[in-house]
Amino acid sequence: MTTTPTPTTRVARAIYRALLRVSPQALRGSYRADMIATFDELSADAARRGAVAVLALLAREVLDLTAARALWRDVGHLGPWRQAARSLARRPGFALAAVITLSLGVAMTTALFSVVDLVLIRPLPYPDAGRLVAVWEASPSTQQNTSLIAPVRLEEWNRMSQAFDGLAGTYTENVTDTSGTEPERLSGRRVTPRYFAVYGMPPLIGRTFTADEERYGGPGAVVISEGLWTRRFGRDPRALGRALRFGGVDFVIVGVVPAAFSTSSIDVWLPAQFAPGILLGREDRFLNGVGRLKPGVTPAQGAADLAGVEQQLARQFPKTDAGWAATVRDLKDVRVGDFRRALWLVFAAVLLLWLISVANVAGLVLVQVHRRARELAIRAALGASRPRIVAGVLREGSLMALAGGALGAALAAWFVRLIPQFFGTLPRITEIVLDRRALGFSAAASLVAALFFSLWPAIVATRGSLAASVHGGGRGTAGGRHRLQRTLVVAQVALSVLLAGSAALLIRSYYRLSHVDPGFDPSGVVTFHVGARWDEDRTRVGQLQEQLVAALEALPHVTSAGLTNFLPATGATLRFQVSVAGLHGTEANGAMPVGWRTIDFDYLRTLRVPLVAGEWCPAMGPDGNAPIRVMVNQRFVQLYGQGQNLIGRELRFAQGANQPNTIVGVVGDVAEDGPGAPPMPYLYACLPAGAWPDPEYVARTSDPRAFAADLRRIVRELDAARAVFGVRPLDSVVDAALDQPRLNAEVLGLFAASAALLAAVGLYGLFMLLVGESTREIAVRFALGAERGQIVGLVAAGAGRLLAIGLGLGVAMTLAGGQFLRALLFDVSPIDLPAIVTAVLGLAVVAAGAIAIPALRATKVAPVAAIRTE
Amino acid sequence: MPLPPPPRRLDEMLPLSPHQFHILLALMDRDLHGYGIILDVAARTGGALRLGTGTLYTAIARLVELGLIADTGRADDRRRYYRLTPAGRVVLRAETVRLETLVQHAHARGLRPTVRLPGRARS
Repeated sequence: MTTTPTPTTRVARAIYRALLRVSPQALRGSYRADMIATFDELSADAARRGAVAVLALLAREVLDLTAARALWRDVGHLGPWRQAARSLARRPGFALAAVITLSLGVAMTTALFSVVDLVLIRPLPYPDAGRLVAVWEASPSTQQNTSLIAPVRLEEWNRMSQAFDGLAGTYTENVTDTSGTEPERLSGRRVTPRYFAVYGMPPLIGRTFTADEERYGGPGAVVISEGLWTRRFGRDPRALGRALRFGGVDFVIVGVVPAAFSTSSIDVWLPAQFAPGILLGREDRFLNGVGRLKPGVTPAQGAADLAGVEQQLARQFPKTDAGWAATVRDLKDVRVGDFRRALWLVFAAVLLLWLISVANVAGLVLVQVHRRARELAIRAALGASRPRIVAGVLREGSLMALAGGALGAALAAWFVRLIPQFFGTLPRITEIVLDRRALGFSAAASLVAALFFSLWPAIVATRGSLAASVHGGGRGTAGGRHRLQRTLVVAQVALSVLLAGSAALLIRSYYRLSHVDPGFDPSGVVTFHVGARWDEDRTRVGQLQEQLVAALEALPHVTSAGLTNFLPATGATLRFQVSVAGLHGTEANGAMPVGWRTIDFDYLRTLRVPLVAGEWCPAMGPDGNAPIRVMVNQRFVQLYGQGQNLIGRELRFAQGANQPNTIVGVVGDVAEDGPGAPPMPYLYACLPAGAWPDPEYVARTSDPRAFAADLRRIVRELDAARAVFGVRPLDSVVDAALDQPRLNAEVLGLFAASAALLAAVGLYGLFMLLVGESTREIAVRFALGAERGQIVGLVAAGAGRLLAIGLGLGVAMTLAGGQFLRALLFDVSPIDLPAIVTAVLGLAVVAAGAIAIPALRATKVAPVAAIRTE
Repeated sequence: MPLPPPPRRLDEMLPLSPHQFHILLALMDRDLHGYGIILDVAARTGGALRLGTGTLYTAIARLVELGLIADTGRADDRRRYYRLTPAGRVVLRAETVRLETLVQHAHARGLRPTVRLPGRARS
């Protein structure tokens, strides 16, 4: 009989296979396949009863395999370890709870630490990566601290700087490869000389570019990624020497770089091959800079060195270079950037959860030890020495710890495989592996905690007058005892409130953020790209753009279509300084900083951005001499307009001798810099078609599916060699800007729920114990005529006091911790009453549920029990 | 870690552990694979004894080594089937006699089970 594996049984089997490692090696050697086959049948049975049954089966197997180890050692003889295993097996609920709690704590801490280590701590995967820096031009006076770099300046820096082994630059150029049967869009980078040398990572096979290939007019060469090599060539080394075809020109593949070389999914690298003209443009800044510092040089020293170089250049080129310096930052810091805070947040949450889980295991063990106090005392009275009793309890503790550690390691390995699905946007996430140090640490820490908490009460229970314990059993009242356990429960509740409160804050912040009016209507709008290169004939590209937009607008299901250089909320913006005669900007020199977008006639209308004053962009022919028409947003008018009418005014760029621009209209503010970001002054330049060869196209359609098919047909008819790519709803673009806040809220919410659950288990355990111990007291009260309600009240009051202390502490911690969240919050104060109330109420409800069972059990106590418990 | 050397004499093999006893019982009438043994034992004990894979195969390994059960050589779905060897049958019978003797000694001293059976009220 063979059973078809389901996802659940497949996961269960993977965990079981990992668990088999704890079984005796000789057993594994002969019976591994049989054991797995048998387990498969058991898990298929369990899966039919649900996932909980599978989890229970796994936990049972953990204990069983651990016990088998002891069995194997002394077959037929009931050794101390087997005794311990039996003792645990007699209390399966406790053993399962402890093992599962321990293993979850170990697994989550390990998996998350692996992420934090990979992204925040481990150096980038390049040789001597500590010397790699990101480099920008900087103009402190105009507050442009991270400007892109002009190619000519990069060359001069390389020549004149003393602090760098080398500096290189790169810019994005996506290409369409027509060497295969279908045109394929590839994501590409153009790179300057020294680019690969700066990173210092050798290619997987082949070589990087030669000086001849880097020179203007040199032969076409391309370095491809390991991903493309695998996808297109099946990792065949003969791919070297074959050619890709971009824009009708062959580029010979000279090398393949390993996947770890780049963070994003870049397919190809091409030499920039700058024309001599470009190397004259001192203000054409478009390169992303990267540099390798000389050994022992800090980024700050590198920046100072480049500033010195700039001062020399400023004497030579005062008009263009005066006031410019450089910014140099550690490359790793730059790449990790935005994720740092969120990751630490998640990690802090995991640590809290881990603390709670350890506290919980401690609580469980304590309940057990208290319950067994009499048993232990009797054993002591019967002659068992104290060390022997303590050793027995310790053995049980280590068995649980071993089982929990083994299951935890197996779960951690599985979590690590799941993580890229949840944290796909993190840099380097594909490199993730299970961090053995983290596993070792968290497992060891959990074991120590479990052992400590088994040892300590065992010592206390056997200390002093053992006879008193025997006689005193069952006589204790609910007050005054179990101080450690009460403390643990209070701590659990408090930490859970902290997690729940923080989660509530982030969820509210995310909600606010996702309900901000973006200033445009993304629903029903589709966006896409059509492959085009920057060095193509602009007239030809322009014709294509015009024909495409016209053909799309002729479709019955399309209302309008247009194009822009960058979509809103995608993080891409060019910033300039402009001036309008008669008006004074916010800068000292009177200039006005603005964000800049290129648009065509119908772009803003397609997005349904409201026209506030003036008129829309005119339809533009390829007429380079007329003044460029621009539109400005409302923020521009508020900030710079000084109440004057701006329509028809002339506007000039502060840098370069650009032709005048005429303001023709004012539109509403669009969330160009992302939802939640305060609106900035923006300039929309109405440029002739082809001015931006690879724009973002948008189209408002009532039938997105038909649109995609029609679009491909139209592009094929216009130019069969062009690839259509990145077709997606504009909604998803806007949503992507909220990925991070959504992730923060979801992850913390998940942790808060787990924490609340663990705290509830802790409360439940404690009060079951207290009720059990107070059976006599409760029975006496019943015998004296107490009502059920009074008994419930008695138990609830005891629980309520602990709960209140825990909640109070938790609120205080949340208020203090909120300050750390401030930077992640949008439109929500760190001291947000609804969020805190929600967290407290949620936790109180869960805790009430946990207390209800012991409270009800107390009412079932029969008065006669007062005699029986003796 | 190696198993202790197998005993040479029959009575050195006694007593059997309850797990071993149940496994031999399960194999009395038919050959079974591991999962079959688990089901058989669980059914016979009313679910009270559910063998885990670790304890099951530790006991099987021991019984194979003692020569009380043997691999049938038949395998479908990767799983080996086990059968009771003649020696196993002898040991099973000897263990049953041993247990029976023990029970008779207890009865002779007047010890009877006092466990209430379901459905029967205690007088």
